[in-house]
Amino acid sequence: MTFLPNEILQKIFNLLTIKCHNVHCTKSLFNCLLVNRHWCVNAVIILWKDPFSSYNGKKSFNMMVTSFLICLDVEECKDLEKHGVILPNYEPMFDYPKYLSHLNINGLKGAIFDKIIMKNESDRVRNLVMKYILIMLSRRENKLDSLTIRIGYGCLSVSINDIRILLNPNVRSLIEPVKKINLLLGSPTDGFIIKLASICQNLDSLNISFRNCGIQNFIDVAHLVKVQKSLELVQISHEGLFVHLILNELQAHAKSLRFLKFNHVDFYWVQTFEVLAELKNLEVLHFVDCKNIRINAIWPLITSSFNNLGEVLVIDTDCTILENWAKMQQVKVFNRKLAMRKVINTRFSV
Amino acid sequence: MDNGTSNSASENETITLKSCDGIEFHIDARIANRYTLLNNWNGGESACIPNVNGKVLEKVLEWCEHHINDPQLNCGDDDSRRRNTIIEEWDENFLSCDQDMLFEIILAANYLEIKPLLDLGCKTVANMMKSKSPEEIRSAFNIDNDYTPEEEEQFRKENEWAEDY
Repeated sequence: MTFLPNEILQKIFNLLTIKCHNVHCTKSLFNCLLVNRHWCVNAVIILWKDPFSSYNGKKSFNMMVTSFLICLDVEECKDLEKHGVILPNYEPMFDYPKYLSHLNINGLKGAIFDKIIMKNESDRVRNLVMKYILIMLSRRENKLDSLTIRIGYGCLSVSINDIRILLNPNVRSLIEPVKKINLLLGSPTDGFIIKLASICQNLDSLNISFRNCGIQNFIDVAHLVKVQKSLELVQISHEGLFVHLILNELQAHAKSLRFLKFNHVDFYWVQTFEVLAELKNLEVLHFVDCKNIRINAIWPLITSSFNNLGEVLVIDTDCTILENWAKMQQVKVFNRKLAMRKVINTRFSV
Repeated sequence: MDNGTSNSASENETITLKSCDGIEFHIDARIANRYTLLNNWNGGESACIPNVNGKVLEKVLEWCEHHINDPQLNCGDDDSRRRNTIIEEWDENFLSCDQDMLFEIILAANYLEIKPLLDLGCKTVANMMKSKSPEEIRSAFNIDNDYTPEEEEQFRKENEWAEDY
């Protein structure tokens, strides 16, 4: 076989992790890892970028936590052993934690709490394990790129007490550089989001889903949006009525925001979409399955011009005018692309 | 990748590229306008593209020529384009060559910074790996297993969580 350099091999392996039916597929990558040493070195880097999103409660995930725990330093291992956590006594093949770039805190918690060797341990000890793993991660040179937190929302949900550790000063350096946050909220967060906002202020991407949330969660998320330096992507999915609180804060990102997506959003309290009209650098705008979009409110948006808008998707909404506007925008985009091609071809043939 | 706005070139205008084994190709200048690195090798009497032989360069240029009118992609498109493994029919047929040639095309695309061709080559190889056991992959790509049994066992154990998916 012609030798493929590491960067190309990793590019190929990355393509093997594409989600199938919204589930991370790692089986093919696992097989590549066992091919030979050269492939293994490259596959491990990709496989351990985001291991916890694959967590599904199966037994083999015990070993995932173990592979992390054996990378703890001696003092931390001793401390855990004092609390009755039995750690295997061997050197890991790789320093796996250093490859982590996405932390799915729910997957991490699930994997730790299901870990068989700790079956008889108390939650206090499990929380200690989680704390040590997070501290260990914060000591690694690699920076965390993204974070997923699911609070009171569907399966593998965590409580605020489970994740308060993220606010620990020793863990701060782990989450501070994060660029993307996926936040799924289904219960009150007891000030957690506000504290998170005081640490993570460099986001370029924020994906928020609300379910059965009260107004306080919307107020807190609006604050999280407000304190960011320059957001490029905001995606909001929710069942709730208070999205206007978040919309108001998008103004702070008028220059940087390029992607804005609304899914299942009820705009009942939105009096005007004026703020969207000011997002002049928008490239992608989605309204999917949204309701209570009033014509008066949408008027500033549909009478505005967006030079960079390349994708407008408006489907299953209750506003025909918005849907028609989206169709017109798509025609404009098509014509613009066509004109650009003509210009390029004309210039070539002059 | 350049968007073709900085250099003007007509359909009749050509540039000359020379492979590392001295074979000359006269190509449509618009191709070099899209892939700026190709322009660096234009016309130099003695300048040849190192590491890319005539057979491979011919294939690379055939691909570039076929895709000469493709729309240029912006950053957002780039990610969605890379994050799927769908390959168009013409491209699939184009890369249905022997494996050594496929890898040489990938290396050349990487060297010449022809990103869409590099992505396409990587997708093709990734699709070849899917649903294959380690043994089948070794056999398909003619790779030797240099693990000791103990090493292999430990790797398997430490990463077994990934096997279930």
